[in-house]
Amino acid sequence: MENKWQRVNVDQSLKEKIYTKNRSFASDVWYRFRHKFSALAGLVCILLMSLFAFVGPYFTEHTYDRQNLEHVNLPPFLSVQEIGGESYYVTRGMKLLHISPSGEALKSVAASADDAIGRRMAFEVDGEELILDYGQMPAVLVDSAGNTATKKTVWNATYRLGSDMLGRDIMARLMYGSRISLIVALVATVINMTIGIFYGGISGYIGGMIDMIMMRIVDIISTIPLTLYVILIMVFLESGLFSIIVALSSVYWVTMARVVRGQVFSIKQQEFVYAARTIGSSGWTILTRHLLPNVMGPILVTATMLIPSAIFMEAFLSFIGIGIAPPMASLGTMCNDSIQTLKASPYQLFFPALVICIIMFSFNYVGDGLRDALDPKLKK
Amino acid sequence: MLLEVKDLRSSFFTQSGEVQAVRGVTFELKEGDALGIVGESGSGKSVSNLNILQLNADNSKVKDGEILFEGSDLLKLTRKEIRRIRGKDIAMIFQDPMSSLNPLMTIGKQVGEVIRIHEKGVSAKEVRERVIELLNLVRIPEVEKRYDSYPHEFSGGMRQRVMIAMALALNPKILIADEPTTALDVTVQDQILRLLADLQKKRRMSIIFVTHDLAVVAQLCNRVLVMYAGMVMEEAGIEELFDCPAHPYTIGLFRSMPNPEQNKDERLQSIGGSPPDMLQPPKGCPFAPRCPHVRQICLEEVPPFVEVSEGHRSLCWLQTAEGLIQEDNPFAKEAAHE
Repeated sequence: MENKWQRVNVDQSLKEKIYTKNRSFASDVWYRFRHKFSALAGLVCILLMSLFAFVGPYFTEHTYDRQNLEHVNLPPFLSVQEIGGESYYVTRGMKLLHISPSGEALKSVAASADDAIGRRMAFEVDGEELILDYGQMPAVLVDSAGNTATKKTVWNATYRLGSDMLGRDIMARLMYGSRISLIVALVATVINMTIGIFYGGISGYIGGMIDMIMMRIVDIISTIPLTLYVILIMVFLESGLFSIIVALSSVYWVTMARVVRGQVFSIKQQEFVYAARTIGSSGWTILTRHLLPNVMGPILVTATMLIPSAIFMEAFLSFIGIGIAPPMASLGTMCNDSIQTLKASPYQLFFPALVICIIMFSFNYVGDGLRDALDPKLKK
Repeated sequence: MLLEVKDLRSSFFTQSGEVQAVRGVTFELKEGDALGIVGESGSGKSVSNLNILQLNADNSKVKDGEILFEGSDLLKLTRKEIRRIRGKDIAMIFQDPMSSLNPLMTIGKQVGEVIRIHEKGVSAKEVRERVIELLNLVRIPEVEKRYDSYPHEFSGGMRQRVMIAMALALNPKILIADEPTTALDVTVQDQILRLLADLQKKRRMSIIFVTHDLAVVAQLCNRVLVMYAGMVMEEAGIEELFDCPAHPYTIGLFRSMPNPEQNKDERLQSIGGSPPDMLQPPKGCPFAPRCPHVRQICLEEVPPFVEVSEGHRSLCWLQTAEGLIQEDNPFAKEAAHE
């Protein structure tokens, strides 16, 4: 600094420079969202579930409907009996199922002789005779030399999550089932969102008498439980994916319409809406360009909360038998099927129930996280 | 005449009854005029301006009167026709720049929207160029960079400039500014006023400037309308009004303005009382209950709008021929002095 008292001219642009950090609303929301553990975990779960449902079927040779009656009711973990270097699994139908060393289910062998009084069964395997002693529980295999088998638990390599009572792979059925759940949820939610947004938006924006009439219609629809409507609609329609979507979309939009209407009602009083009118915007432009983008937050939250209820509704309908038609798998039909074998094979109920839980929890947590992230009042 | 408002009456219909917000407002706006409308809150100044563009609230209605814009009555236009005038011929800026911009739209898009609405078939590139030119005109720094910014990244003064840019986009003939500087701090307020005065001169645009601040009016306007309880109390050229106010209400307003030379111990004079209930407006002069010079007739009948001098009119019984000869008339005394 040669002369620190010399007069200088400040750059004109410096005078009115705006000193603010550039962060858009969306990045703000994302910042708050990813700092909430439950929301992030939910999002990851949803992504994994979608991968499982939409990509999974390409990685398994099983399909949702192919049966193998030799392999019914196999649990995911087989307690096998090893004798003479071979492993056998005693099925509930009292047959011997040959299990490979890596856990794959092979051929089954029927008993050649049954001594019901001595409680013994004889099996012919590769010319050798094996005796199954079921006088004691659990039954024990004995070979002709009198050696008893050693017991071992192996993971079922053919049916990783077991097979159901018709010999279908539970994992493959879960993939197809959750695929249906997610499709139903997303399509129904998108349709509900569209109807709800425009119904509520128009009602809220126009106001007055039209709003009165439109909202009374919503009130009338919601006096009867929505579930009842869906069941009644399903009774009239043929069961199937399309019908479920139609049934869900024709009723569940009322929640969305109410939310949107309330939001639009409060936002339309704001000055920027007046400002838009002063420049000659039409009502439609104001609704679609100014009002709806500003109520997108609550809409998104309601939509993510709508997804789990749609999933649950689909599962429920399929469970009571008016949803997805067999043999197509759905989480609900899988639960229903498993009831018949619940005591002997509880895993058949456990897995679809677990998947329903994971999907519902994930969407609920994501919705929760979104609501917190979108609410600027909670901004720290 | 560019704009003539004749005997405009409009009301709000609320649950407690009809609120008569505007009760017979008449004024004219010439080309290049800057008309100030002054009055306290609830005096009907904003409502009468919103009525010009038919931007009434759901529960308000124009009951009577004419608003002639270049000879045609705006009140008789269909919705579509009035939309063509909004923003193109008559533009408006609002009090609160913080809430007047859509928080989810970039500045450039919002300013460009006016052009897109009124001029179909303008290319996106041309809109962008024109918006950048407009933003430069209202002296937004680093326009290219700011074009894609969101309103929350702007300060209040900057946002009001954006609003002005939006209003000027199509070279409107009239700009209605509804308290555009009230929400801004004083230094920014001054910048905005200078900008408006400058733009008005450059573009030969007429301005209607609604405010409650007489100092602001003095800086920008050449004519002033003083409103009270939905009526025009006094209308005068700016200098005339400041030199010889001809209505007790105007005089009261001037007295309640702080003066830097005033003794600090002396309290600022205010007008005692509060404005009348517009659900049941008084049958006489609305200011009568608060007027220091009130006469019996003031409570009974609305005074005529008499011309005090050329282009200067006042709604006061004491200014009438009969009133001026009464004893104790402050306006008569003044006349006697001169």
